[in-house]
Amino acid sequence: MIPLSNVKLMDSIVFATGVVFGYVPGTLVAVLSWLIYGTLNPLGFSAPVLATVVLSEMVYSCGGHLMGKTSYGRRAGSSVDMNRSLVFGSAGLLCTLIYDLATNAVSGLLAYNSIWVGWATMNFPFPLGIIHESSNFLFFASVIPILLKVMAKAVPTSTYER
Amino acid sequence: MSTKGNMWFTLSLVLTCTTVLASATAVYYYLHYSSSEGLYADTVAALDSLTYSVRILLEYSNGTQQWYNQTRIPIGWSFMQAANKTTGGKVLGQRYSFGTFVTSINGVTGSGPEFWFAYSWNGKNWVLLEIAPEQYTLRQGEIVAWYLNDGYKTP
Repeated sequence: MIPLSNVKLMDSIVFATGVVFGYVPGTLVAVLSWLIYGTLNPLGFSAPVLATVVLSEMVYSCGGHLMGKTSYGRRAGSSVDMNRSLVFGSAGLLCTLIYDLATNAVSGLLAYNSIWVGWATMNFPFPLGIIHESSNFLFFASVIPILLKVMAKAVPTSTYER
Repeated sequence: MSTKGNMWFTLSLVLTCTTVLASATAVYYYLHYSSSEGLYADTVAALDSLTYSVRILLEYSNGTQQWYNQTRIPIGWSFMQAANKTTGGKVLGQRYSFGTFVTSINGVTGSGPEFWFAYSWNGKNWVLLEIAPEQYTLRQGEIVAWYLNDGYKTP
């Protein structure tokens, strides 16, 4: 998805792992995904940026872990419904907002020595933040319920309701 | 949580998301607006060093007024050149030894006692130009007019 800037399926996978397996496995998926995506990326490699995005990606595993404790997450294998999809979509958008605020604050500090400039460049000159948040809303609402259904088959029935 | 409670919870979440997206979009457009405003100011400043901005009025004998505001002309252009630019070359005249006598603008020809007269705004009044329009060089911010009348009126 390199041509589509800031549109990533990775966030949904980390979140779903957090829901089903908890914070630690979710974080491991986040770290491993970024180590691959961040080093073999055709757009280049930057150690401080990689460290920032790895740490920030943990927002999704954390969010997934918390979601796993709610009735929406515990019904990991249940059928797809609109209400649940909207909750996942909203959780995705809010996690993405935190992720974008954190990563842009750090890149603003590194590039311009200002958090405010970093936040200003989040949606300017290109609305990359809006693209990231909207695409994650759609991904989380559509992909996560399906991912959870698939993942639920891999974990014991006693842990997650089917 | 009951079904009704679930519905309100979901609705609140979705509304929070739309607020986030709407705010981000508003910031995006505001930053673009500010940036465009700055670029416009820079362009105008650059243009000011190369061109003059003048205002030209065309007034017909029936009282119809046509304003050409913020007309950009190269420095050193005459009133005749500026009028031709704004009307798309529709200022026609006859050459005499004293200069060009304008006979028609935008297809409206002077006839009988009414002819096209040129005026300049001095800050208080319109002053009849007693010089041929191609010899009258415009200055920055100048306001000038062509008025079809008998020569006793002003725009």
